[in-house]
Amino acid sequence: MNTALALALNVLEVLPGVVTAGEDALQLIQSTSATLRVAQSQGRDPSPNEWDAINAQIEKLREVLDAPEAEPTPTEDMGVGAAFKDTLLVGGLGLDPEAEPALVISSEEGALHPTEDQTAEAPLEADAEVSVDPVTS
Amino acid sequence: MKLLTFAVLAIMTVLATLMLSGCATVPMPQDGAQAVYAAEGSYAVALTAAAAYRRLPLCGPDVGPACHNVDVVEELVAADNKAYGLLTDAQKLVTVHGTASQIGAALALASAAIADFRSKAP
Repeated sequence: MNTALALALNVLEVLPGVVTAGEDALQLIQSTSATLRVAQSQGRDPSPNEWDAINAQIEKLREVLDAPEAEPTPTEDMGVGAAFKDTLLVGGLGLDPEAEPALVISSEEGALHPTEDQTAEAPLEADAEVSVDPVTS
Repeated sequence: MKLLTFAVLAIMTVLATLMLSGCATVPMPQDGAQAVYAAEGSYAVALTAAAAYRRLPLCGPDVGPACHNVDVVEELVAADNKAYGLLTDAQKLVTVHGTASQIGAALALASAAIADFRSKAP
């Protein structure tokens, strides 16, 4: 039953394209015939415009035929493996790829400057006095 | 299931019949240029069928019988490239007023390539 349903859906999916192709083919035949009849009635060869028109149609059709195969959709490509990789490399290490950098390297001064957060957490100043208790042994 | 397959085949047969009946109305060319133009029309019809086949979904395990096979498309593309190249040569000859024998030879090659291209169509 499922197979029959899948087949029916497949047919319904492709049918409009088949019908359109048939219509396009008929239109091509009719236009080619009409052009040839006019040319013959006027005793001439097809004009440059008539050549260009059929060449343009041919180019469009060749683009369809030469189109590269569609890549797999993202949902197909990103399976369990991709989800695992994201978790392991980003979530597993507690890293947020969208987060602001914690440390900014200034190329002008060649020095490291802490961000505001780091400054607030560790308010160290260069000229601050540091007392160290000597270790007595 | 068989009924649906037959329905698809019936529709395609009707369309093919319509195409063939349309082909019968193409007037007989009276010179080389008109013959090449008629050959281009014939080629374009074959190309329409090939493009329609290429538009079908890619064959796979979860896809129905109306699908396109990559190997078949590759064969079609190769045959199309040959036919297109030969037709382009023939068209150049008629537009630059090549000799009748040159045009005849080019048209014969192009017609054979178009026939081969048609035979590759599923």
